[in-house]
Amino acid sequence: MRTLFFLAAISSFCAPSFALYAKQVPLGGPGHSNGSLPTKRIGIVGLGAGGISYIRALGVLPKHMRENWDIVAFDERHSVGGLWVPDDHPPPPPGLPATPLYPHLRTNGPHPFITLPNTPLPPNSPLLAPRATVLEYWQGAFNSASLNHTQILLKHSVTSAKWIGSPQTGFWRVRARDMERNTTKFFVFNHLLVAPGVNRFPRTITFPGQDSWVAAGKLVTHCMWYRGPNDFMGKTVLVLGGGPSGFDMARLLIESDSTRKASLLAACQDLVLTFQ
Amino acid sequence: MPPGVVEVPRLLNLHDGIATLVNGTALPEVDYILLATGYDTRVPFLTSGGFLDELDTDQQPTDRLSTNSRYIHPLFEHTIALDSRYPVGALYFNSILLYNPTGTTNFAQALFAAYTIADPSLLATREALLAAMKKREELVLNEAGIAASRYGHRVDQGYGQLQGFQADGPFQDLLVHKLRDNGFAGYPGIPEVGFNYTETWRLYLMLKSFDVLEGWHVGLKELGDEWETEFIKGQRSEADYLDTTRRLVEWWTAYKKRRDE
Repeated sequence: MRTLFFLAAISSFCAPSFALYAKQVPLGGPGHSNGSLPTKRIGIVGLGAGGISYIRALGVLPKHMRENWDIVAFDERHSVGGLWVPDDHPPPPPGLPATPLYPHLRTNGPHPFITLPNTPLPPNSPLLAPRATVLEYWQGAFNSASLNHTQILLKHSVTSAKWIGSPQTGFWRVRARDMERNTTKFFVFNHLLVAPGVNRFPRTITFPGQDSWVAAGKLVTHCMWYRGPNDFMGKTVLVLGGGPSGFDMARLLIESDSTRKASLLAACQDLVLTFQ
Repeated sequence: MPPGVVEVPRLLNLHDGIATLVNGTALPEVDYILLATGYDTRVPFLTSGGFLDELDTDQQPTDRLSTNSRYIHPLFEHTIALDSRYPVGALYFNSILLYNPTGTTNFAQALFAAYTIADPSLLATREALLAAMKKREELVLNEAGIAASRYGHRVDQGYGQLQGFQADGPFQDLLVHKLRDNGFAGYPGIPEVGFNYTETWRLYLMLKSFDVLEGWHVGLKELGDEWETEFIKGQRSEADYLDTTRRLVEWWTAYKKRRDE
């Protein structure tokens, strides 16, 4: 009964959309009842490669297995494609780029290795595929998914999710901000499918004496802001980190003529090395 | 390392505005530090709702979902949240893996979510899934030599042959084969009994991935766009692309041999 009371209380002050959804929400937990499948409300947060995979997988389910399901998918960006959607003029720190993607980025392995099953890249794509090719690939994968009754909410930032209920039964109460209209909307889901990606929040390290470094007019930046070698004109660069990013940063800088000397590469304390 | 890059030991400090390495070497000429130190695994909207604690310790509880910025715990196979406050199947994760074959792993996790939502009887109890998670974390520790909470969401150690040596197959097969072996063989996206989700050729590509990365960039740099265009001409199918990879690996092996002579 506490659950029912909460629903009533919320719908009295929330966006109209909530009241609409509240009627459709089964209060029981996931499960069969009398052999028939209950209506389900599913929320997908993030429409990069992860969220698009959710859309495709839900779309291949035989229709009788997903009858009367309602699906809402959110993404902050203006387009699906996640980190492959460019943000070539990111704000300086403490602002965050929407993606670490830089213009000359290619896949860091052969593309047939990273594609969806039975879905190759377009003909004549270089084995290390350029960013535009990969973005088109995932957008194509999204557009060709056969999922009806799906509401796609771009430019919507999910700001909070709370489980309302018990360990056995309940629902997710999700708050999202419509970034264009600057309004808040509420949603209710039985299942929450989260695809946040792993390149959103840079891991920075502060070294002893860094204040004196900055005071001397020297620079330290995370590679999430890297957009090309021009920022490094005349600099001698120490790249910290031997993972795929460190490898590519070092390669791009050494191949450009903008650095005064060889850039150097150091393995950082905390990093699990991938490439020797 | 890319040719021309000087590899140096770790950075120790920046005292007096000078970069000093752990071996005591000072590098006064360095005036720009570029951190390629990775990313924190955070999901702020879950944290703000009280459903993903951000912890400073690797000692993560098993009844509440948390992140130590590298590892979200407790998750069954990096996919299903095992927080005790809601039922198994209420919260799924995708796209938090590192160094993974994106398409096949994401789609395997997504298939697992879709089919288990449609048929929740596919899911074991929270206790059973927690036990399976603990077993997996032990395998990761044994193979990688690093605790799972530090190693993060990686599936290259602690899984089957070609992605580790102690379990029964690559991560993505493990998830999809649970569906295949529980009544969904031959369903859309799921292989028939006796067939694997991951194609053998994709595993070959995984092993050659770094050769392609190195070789392709060298080819591009030294032989230019025409070399690339020639290499990929007429490529359409997965089989064509596999053939291109084989030719590239042969070319790169011969190139390195010539270079070393």
